Amino acid sequence: MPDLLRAERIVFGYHGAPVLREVSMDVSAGGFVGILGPNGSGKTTLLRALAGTVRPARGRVLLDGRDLSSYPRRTLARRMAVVAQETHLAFDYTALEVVMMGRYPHLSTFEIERPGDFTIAREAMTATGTLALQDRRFDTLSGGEKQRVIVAAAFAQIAGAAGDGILLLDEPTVALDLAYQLELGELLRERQRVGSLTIAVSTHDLNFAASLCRTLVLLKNGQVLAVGPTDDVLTSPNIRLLYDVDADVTRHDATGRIVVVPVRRARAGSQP
Amino acid sequence: MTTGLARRIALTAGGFGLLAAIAILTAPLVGSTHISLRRAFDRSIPFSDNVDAQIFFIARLPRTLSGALVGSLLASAGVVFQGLLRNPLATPFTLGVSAGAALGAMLAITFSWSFAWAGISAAAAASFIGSLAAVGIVYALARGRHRGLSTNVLLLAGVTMNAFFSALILFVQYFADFSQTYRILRWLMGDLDVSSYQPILTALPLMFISFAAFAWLARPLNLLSLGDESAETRGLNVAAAQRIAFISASLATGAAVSVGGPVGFIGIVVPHLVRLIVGPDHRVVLPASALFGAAFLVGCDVVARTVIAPIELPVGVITALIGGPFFLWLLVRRA
Amino acid sequence: MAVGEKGLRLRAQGSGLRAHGSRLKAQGSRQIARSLAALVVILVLLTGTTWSQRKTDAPSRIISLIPAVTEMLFEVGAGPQVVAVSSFDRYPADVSKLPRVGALLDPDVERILSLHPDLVVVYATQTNLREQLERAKVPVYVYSHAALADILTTIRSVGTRVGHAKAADDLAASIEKRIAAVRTRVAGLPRPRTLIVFDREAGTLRGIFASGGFGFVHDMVTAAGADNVFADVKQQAVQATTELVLARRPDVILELRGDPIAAEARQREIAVWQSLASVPAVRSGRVYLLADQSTVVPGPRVAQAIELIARTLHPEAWK
Repeated sequence: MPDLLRAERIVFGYHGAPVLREVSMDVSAGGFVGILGPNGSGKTTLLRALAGTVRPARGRVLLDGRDLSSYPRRTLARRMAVVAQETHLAFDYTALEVVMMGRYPHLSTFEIERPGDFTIAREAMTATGTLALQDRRFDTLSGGEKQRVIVAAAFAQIAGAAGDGILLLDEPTVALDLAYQLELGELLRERQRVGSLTIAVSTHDLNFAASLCRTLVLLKNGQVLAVGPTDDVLTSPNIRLLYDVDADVTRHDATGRIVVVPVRRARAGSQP
Repeated sequence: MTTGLARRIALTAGGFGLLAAIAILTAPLVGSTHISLRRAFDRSIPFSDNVDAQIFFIARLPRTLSGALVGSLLASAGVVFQGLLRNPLATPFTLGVSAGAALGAMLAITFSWSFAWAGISAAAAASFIGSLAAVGIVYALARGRHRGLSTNVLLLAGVTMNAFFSALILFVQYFADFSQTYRILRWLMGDLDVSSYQPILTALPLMFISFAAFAWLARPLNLLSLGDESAETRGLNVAAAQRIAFISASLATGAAVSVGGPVGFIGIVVPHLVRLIVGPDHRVVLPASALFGAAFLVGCDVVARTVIAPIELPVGVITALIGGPFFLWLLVRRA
Repeated sequence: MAVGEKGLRLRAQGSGLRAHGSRLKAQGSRQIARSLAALVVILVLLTGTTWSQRKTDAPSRIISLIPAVTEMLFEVGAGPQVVAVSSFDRYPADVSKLPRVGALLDPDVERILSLHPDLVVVYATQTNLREQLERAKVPVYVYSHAALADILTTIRSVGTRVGHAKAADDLAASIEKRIAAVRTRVAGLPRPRTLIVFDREAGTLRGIFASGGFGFVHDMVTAAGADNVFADVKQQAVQATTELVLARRPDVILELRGDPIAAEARQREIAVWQSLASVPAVRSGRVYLLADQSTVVPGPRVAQAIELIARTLHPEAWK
């Protein structure tokens, strides 16, 4: 599988405190990558670097072999959408207006949305089960509803992307009820099957990552601990290294998915 | 509601445009003095003999036009600042523009600078330069190591500038005598009596430049309200948009203040009223605010100059009397 | 009081001395003479101090925060007693050497107190300053700003307060006489409707402040034989907008300034009114700009100011 998105030895820090130290990883076209790690590991920053909103001090990010920063912003936005962890609106836009903002990269400076844009937006909202909310004010929605609207906006943004569309999600399950977590997982899997969508998720939810991601990147203190197929990477020793937690990693018979059961905090000096 | 954005823009622009046109056309007909319109437009009477014509064309019409100009500049600048700072309570004066302008005007009045260039009084020119200075300082402070303008630093820098310039203003006050202090106070309350078309003509290019920038900014401002990063990932050059928004809105405010003084509340009452009517999409709010702002200030000025005729109230008093309670109601409503 | 006590002590001393003298008659007349001389010296000193005490009822260290009152003080002969003036004092020339203690909005209390005044002339509205001076037990003279008649009352009252009542009365009387003379001269002459301008922005017609039907400027111009175009507005100052000026159609526009103005600047400022072509004053060329301090200070030079204004408005009466 060709590398679609690739990070090469990126180094990045805020005000001198290093956050990412020589991190390299790649996302293949059609792949589903999970970036796992504890708080402060640099997950969100890595995702930002992949999205291009943060420029690494050293190293580079490549999209289709070209440096990310060489792409015009609008062109990039038509192919890559980011679902942020939280979205706060300053003004009272409706849910549909928020989703329609995902179509802006497809419009030239003074162009106004066409009926086709509305169709795409509504389809995306239907897919995330938020069409009924379209005329509701975004800031009156619950956390989970907001999240699903933003996902719809992301879908609308990269709909019909030439080449593979890329979806980056930052901690998508934090505000979601269990039912919606499952729905989101199902939706993402479905979208990948149907269209050519490449997905990267940063999360600390081990089971969510295990059930969806085919590749994992384990990040600790801004460094890559392990990278590879989920089955190979998601092991008890790695979990202990990553989270200081003793956990059992088993396979669920009915679904065939890997399940992680955290057992206890790791004792200092305990052997893997 | 969601279809036909173009139609919505056309309808609101048409509606508010009509309102503005009515205001501009009827305001010169009203005043503390009774004039005969027939006489005013009677071409056979030489202009220098025609008192009615002089009152209409020298006193009232320039005043109405400057009211429309100042109102539309302040209202639309208010919308842009609110979008830039992601805060519906921001005003054109939040970032120190009016404090710089006030200092400039004060210096001109206190030290009796008496150059008048192309019909622009020293106070007007000095206030414009003062506002540019304040804006420049705020901009320099807010430019971060990263590409854009940090809105938090912008706010802090603006508030600091307001405080700093206010201190300077008090210091200059020290040197002013009684009548100068009185004139400064009156300037601070707003004065649209330009008595000539020159200040309007001089401010017109600035208005065109700002409005052109505002037209470009309409959609970016929608995106900015999602947050800097969310806007960036949706294809907006956030740094450039912030720069353009800050500079163009400051230019508009500086131009407005140099013509009519720092008239308060237009920059917050009008955008809010407009959003209540047309929703938050900046592509509709901006043109509607510009037009409604013109109508609103012209209306306030008519009240100011007729309510206790022959004495005239400063127009800023009327806008404050309307704006204050409105603002209170807004805050209570949001709570 | 002290004099009485001294008197008793004197008598005691006197009788003591006599007793001493009779006991020492043998010591000789020189001692008697010396004692008598001492007695005389004591007596002279006593009466001397009562004299000077009466004189120090009049303040000898006066601070004036009001330029008009400063002028009055100097005019009635209390100039030497003035030790400090306000930041805006300009007249007479002697004040240029005096220390400044601020003005209406910013009186420098520390400076005032450090000069140990025994009278401070303050504005009625300077309540803070008055409280502080009261606490420091410094006497004050409270001045209020008002009309022409009040200037004369103030002259007399200030004069009495500083021990120059006669001079003050003479001054007030002479001012009254001069004003009456002007009134007589212009009586019967047509009284032009006059726009009296205190202040406006240089080079434009913005921010015009005109005199309302109240205050000494209004009174001066009325005495000089003209009618204030804003006589019906019962305020000291009116913001005269373009429309108001056009509507009131003044026959004369009189701008009063305190500071001197260069000739071309004066021409430029007068020319600014040309844009209001329908105003009778502009059409007949009766736009005057008087740059004379006496017209802006409600003090003893008011008669001079009225004469100046009258001559400007009615030149024919002085031919």
